[in-house]
Amino acid sequence: MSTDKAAAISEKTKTENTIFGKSTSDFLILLITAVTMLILNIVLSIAYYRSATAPDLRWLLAFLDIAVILAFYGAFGGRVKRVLLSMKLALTMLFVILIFAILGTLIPQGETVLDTDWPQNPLYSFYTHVGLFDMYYSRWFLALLYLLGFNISFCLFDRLPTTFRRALRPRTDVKDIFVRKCPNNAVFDGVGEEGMEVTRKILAGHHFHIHSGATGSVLAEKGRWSGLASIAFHLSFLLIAIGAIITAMLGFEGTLQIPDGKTISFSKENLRIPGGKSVPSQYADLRVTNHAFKIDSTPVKEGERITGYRTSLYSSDLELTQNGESLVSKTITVNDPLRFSSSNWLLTLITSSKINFHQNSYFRDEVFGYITVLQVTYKPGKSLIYVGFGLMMIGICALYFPHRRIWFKTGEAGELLIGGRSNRSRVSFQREFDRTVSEIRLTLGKQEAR
Amino acid sequence: MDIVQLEQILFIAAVITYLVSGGIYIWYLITRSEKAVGLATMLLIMAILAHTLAMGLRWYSSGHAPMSDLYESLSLFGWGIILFFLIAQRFYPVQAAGALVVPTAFLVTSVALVFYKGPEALAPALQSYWLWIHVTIAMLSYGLFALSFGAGFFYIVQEYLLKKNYRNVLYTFVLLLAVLGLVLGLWAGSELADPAKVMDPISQKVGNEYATSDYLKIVGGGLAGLLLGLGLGFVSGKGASKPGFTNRLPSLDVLDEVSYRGIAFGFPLLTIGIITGAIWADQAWGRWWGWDPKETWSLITWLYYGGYLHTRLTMGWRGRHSAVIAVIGLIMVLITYLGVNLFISGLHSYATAA
Amino acid sequence: MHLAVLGINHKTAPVELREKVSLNDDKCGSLSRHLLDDVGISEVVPLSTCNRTEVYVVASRPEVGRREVMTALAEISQVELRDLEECAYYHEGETAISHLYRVAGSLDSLVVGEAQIMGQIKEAYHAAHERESTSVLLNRLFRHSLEVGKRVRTETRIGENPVSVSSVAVDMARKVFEDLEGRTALLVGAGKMGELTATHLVSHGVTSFIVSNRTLSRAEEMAEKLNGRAVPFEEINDYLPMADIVISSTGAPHYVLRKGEVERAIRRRHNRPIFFIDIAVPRDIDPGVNDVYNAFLYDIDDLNEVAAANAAQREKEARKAEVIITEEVNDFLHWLSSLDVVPTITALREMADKIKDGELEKTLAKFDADLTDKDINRIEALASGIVNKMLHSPTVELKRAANERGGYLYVESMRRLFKLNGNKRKERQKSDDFKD
Repeated sequence: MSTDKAAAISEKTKTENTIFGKSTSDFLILLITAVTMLILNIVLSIAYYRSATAPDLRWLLAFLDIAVILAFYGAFGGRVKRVLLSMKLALTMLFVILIFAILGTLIPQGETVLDTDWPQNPLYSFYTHVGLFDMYYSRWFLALLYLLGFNISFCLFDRLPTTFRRALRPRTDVKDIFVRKCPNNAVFDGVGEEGMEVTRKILAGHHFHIHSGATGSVLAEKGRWSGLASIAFHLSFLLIAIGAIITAMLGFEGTLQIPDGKTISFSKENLRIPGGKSVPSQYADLRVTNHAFKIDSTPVKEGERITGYRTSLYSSDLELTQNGESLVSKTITVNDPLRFSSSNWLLTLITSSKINFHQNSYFRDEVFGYITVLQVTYKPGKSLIYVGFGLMMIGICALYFPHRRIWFKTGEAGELLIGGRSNRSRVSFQREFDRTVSEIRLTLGKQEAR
Repeated sequence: MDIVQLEQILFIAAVITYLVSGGIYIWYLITRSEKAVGLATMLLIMAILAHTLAMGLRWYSSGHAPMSDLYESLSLFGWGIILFFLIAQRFYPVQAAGALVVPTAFLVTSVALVFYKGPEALAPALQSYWLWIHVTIAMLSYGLFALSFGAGFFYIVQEYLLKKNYRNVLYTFVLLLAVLGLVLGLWAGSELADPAKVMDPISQKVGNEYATSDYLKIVGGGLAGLLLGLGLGFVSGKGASKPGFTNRLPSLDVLDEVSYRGIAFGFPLLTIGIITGAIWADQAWGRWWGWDPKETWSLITWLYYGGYLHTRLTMGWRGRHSAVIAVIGLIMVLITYLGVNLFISGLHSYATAA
Repeated sequence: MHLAVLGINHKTAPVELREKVSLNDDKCGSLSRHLLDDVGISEVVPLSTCNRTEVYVVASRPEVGRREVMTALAEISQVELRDLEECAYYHEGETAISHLYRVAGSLDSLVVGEAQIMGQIKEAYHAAHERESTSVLLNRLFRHSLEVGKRVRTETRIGENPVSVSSVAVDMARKVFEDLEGRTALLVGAGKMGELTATHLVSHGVTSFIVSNRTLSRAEEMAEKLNGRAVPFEEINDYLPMADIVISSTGAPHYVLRKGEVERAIRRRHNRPIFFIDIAVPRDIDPGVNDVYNAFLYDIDDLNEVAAANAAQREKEARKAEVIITEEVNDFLHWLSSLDVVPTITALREMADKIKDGELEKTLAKFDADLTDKDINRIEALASGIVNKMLHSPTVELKRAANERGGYLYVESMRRLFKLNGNKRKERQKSDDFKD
């Protein structure tokens, strides 16, 4: 930053009224936002915790929590953007989430807590309230995940334009000072055109792609798409997270118990869905028939003696009908569910509107005989999640090829300037750069100047 | 002699050979006799061949990939350790590591022997092609993390040696082996403990009821592991804390590189392992993720190594700091792989002795 | 035929005498010609390095070799015969063989385990071979000695760990950086030891040198030699972050490099290590530098300690090498004994009889039961007759030649032509013959 510019800024800050390092108007906007969100948060929280029938809103409340904290931080603390862009926050969040995740495996989660001594603890109800036994779905754990998500998306969108520009339009025209200021650089005096030729040849020999600029400077680069790969990798988190949220909001998971040979509908009594959600309208009048339930078992042997039998496979012959019309039938086993969609394949793929029937378990009832327990799910976020998986795999593989760039040009005094930088693994790039310069040094038979 | 007996005999032969070979590697650490390494390597190759054959026979006789119960999984783990070690020894001068690695493989496989069960049909939940894809990929990533751990550990040792800080070399050995011994001992004890199964009348769920003798077994296992680790650590540490030991180890650059490579290849594999696990879970149970302890711990391990890669690739960490992270990483892996059964029996608990 | 060696080395002769007796190519040639003119000597290989001059010969009678070689050597290097006799050693037969093997395995060298001697032996032998002053015995002995040298190198770690201070320094640097190719070295002080270490670094691929010295002209001088650049002494701290290896050897009475500066330099290098070699007394580099993350400091005491440990290690390996040499000497003696006439004739007969018996059996089997015992006897007599007549003249000729000079040539040819050696080493030798 030039001195007069800095002076102008300090001048500006002096003349205007400032509160907590920002202008009054900025401060007020932030404060109002923060307070509004806080009130909204409190109102929603009260409504949610008082109502017995409200849908699961923890994901929204956690989101609001983070928004409130960030807005207050923006008003009274430093700059929100700086925090959200920092690698420190990402690593801290990784660490904090890691610690709580470990804690969650040490404390019994869900119903299992009822089998332990925890309920006798005098603070049990308090613990339950803060979500100690439902940690991974608790408001604050979600909030932590959101913060990491915000951090990742901020970094992502901040880097997006530069990364695309770098990948699509290599920066070939650079000034002397730019090359000299590179983290890795070398200068050879008075080698002129020969130096340029030698450098070009050596770098091409190392499989660098060479781009000559209009002003005489040359860029040699490798791993040009690495920046995009990194974006893809981090974007995959967001896609998976969004997919999971969509599924949590719009989808459902329920259990359906069908006795052998019976047909039942999706009524509230039959299909038990926790969280007060309902079946999407296109599937509401489906009926499921369990034509036949089968069990295979194999003998358990001790030596030659048969000591018992264990279940090796069980299956149910299912048929879906709508208004008396058969839609689809299939024999399902544990690893082979029935999936059905009422839309065409393209629409199904895009909206992932399939309804799935998983063979969950079975039990024997004295009245009805065998009863199949089905897990019925509807996951509208599925396509997004799978795209996320795919992006993650692509991104992760390319993550190990950093974008390495080396510029070289003849300077004003006829010297050869070489400068290099890498977006990742700078240590190994430094070694590569040193070796390359050493090669140039040997070919030219000359030491660089300083 | 039927196939099952043949399989058992081959496996026992392999385990005993691992013991002998491990002993020779320790002998090598003390005497530095080249001949000992040749002999130990030959024994290892013979043992791994017998081991491979045993696994193949088991695959044949059970009709499914041998990855379903604790015996099979530990056997595969031990096999992987030896395989990666033999490969590493082929390309890098890491014979000295044999004194650490081969006894570990012996320990793992002998524990597998304790939990030996005849081949059985797969539980319905495991009858899927995802079984071997998911397990193989996860095991490969564990093996690579173990390699990275070994290189990281020897980086720390080599750095102290080069800094002429011989006392810290000894401390490093003792501390590390003691911790490893404790974790493995606790785990083995908990597997040996045979808590009574009780069914909760209301939730219809089967839970564990630990008796005093079970707790004694767990604590005893932990103590035994700790003492064994301390003893081994002291002996091998004494052997290593001499100026001449520098020559036995690769250079810092190579160790740093190998340690990083292990994670650089292990991390994508772990990612794919978790993703395949999620897809499988969706197919079997209709959900991708359920915060089951095993799932949670694999996520923890994943986040941990993700952190390693960030410090390394974007913050430029290297050397001892990275090596320490890689060493602690294996503890995470061990908890993910073995320790989870210590806490709660989750959906992955079919891979236990119970 | 007697194998013998006469020579002097660094243990038996002072350097003045060694310098005089040292043989260049011409002298080797004339010495060989001179000796071969003599009736009693059939093969000669002179070996001359800076630490030894030895002449290997094959003589018809033991004492002939000693006298002839001694006088010839004294004459050609123009030293008093008495002086030479005082310092020279003379080995024969088994001891001569074992001597050459020990030399090849560099157990007899000034620095046990050094690698150059193998090349020198090879060169000396090739020169002698060109001059045609070698034949079966020395050909075999020298080629075998090279194999022995190789075996000692691969089967023991005799040459593995360096024992001189400057090469120990380079070796330790390579324990930090796997390879030194393209690395940068900073020389603080342009002393002799610094220069020696720097040349070692050059041979390991270091291409960039920064030299600084109190008097800049001296630094410039050395920078020119190393193809590096000289920088003012006051500015070393600016150059420190560029250096992978720092060699310090100034005569300064106080520390030249301090902990704080090194810490800063390493931070500016993004934690890449720096290896410091302090060969100055009193020390140039603050010992606290060794505690800095990724800085490694070795002073002269540390290096000496490593060198001593390595030397002790070499002694241990030398004992293993002796065992190998004993084995190999026995191997060679075994071959040598096969050159005697009597066992060769026996082997020849045995081979012929074996062929005869085999062929007889095959032929007789074809007749089934058609032949009477008498017929069989006749056929057998025919076969024996052919064999005996065929072998008669070679046998007689061999016996006659045994008493002549160079008679073992016949024996050796016979063994080769009829493949009479069951010895495994024979096969190896043959393939070597093609290689050369």
